[in-house]
Amino acid sequence: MNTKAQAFTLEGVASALILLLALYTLYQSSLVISPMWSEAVNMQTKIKAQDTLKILDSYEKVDGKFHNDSLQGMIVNLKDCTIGVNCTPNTEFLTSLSIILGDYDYRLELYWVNNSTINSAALVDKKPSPNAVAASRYVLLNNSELRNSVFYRGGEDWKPMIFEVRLILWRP
Amino acid sequence: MASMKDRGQILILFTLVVSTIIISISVLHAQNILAGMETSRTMMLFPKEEIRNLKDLADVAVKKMPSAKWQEYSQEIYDQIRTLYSQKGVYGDLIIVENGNKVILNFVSADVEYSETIYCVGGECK
Repeated sequence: MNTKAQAFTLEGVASALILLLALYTLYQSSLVISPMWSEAVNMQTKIKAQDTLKILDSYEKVDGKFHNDSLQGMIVNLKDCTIGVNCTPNTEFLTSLSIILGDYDYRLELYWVNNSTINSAALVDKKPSPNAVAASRYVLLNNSELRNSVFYRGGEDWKPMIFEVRLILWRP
Repeated sequence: MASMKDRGQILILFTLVVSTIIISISVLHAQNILAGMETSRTMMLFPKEEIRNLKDLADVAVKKMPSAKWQEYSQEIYDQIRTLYSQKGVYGDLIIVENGNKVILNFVSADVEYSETIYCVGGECK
């Protein structure tokens, strides 16, 4: 009787241990610790940057002029300054950008091709954090549309110029 | 009626069965989460916006293109787009042919190869 009771107890303990192991596995498997977690946050920031540039990309003209707060209007309104030194986007553009971005901090860069070489200028020159992400939008303007800007090349008005507007975004 | 020894063995047996079921469900649950995360990560990494941007540029280029100088215009666009995309480590180009009636779009990155021919009629591309 004693031996049987001991065996029964032992079997009960063994079954309890197996059940405990199963429950432990259950709880461990529902906590997926993976480096992809941080990527998800970066991807959300990237989508925010892409959406912001897309919203501001507008070829619509009013009275023959681009909207001042569009990417095209921002580029065309870069005048009376030296590109790469003291050119900054117009106030309406910066205001619209701030409204869309909210809490995010940003850096704005412009890239274009001149004689097969890439030129760049930082229009909003802030230092990004290590977890910043970048998104780009390409804009096409003819030389005639850039007449009053720093990018105008005298002579052929039909010539196209493609600009890459790069928005680097991060949470402060 | 089962004896004490049989009861103990039956107890262990059913515990084993129940724990096997619990382990299987938990593994399935974990795999579901991982599959969802991988899918969303793949979707977010796909260069959808770069390709869409190229298509938008094609539409704009055809509208702005001067018909008398369409070949030089096309060459300028081709060179500039290729140069700008190359600094990001991808290949992208737009080739306007047939006086703006057709635009060939190419995009090649490490994971994606995309090529499309867009037909334009009356300055509108589809």
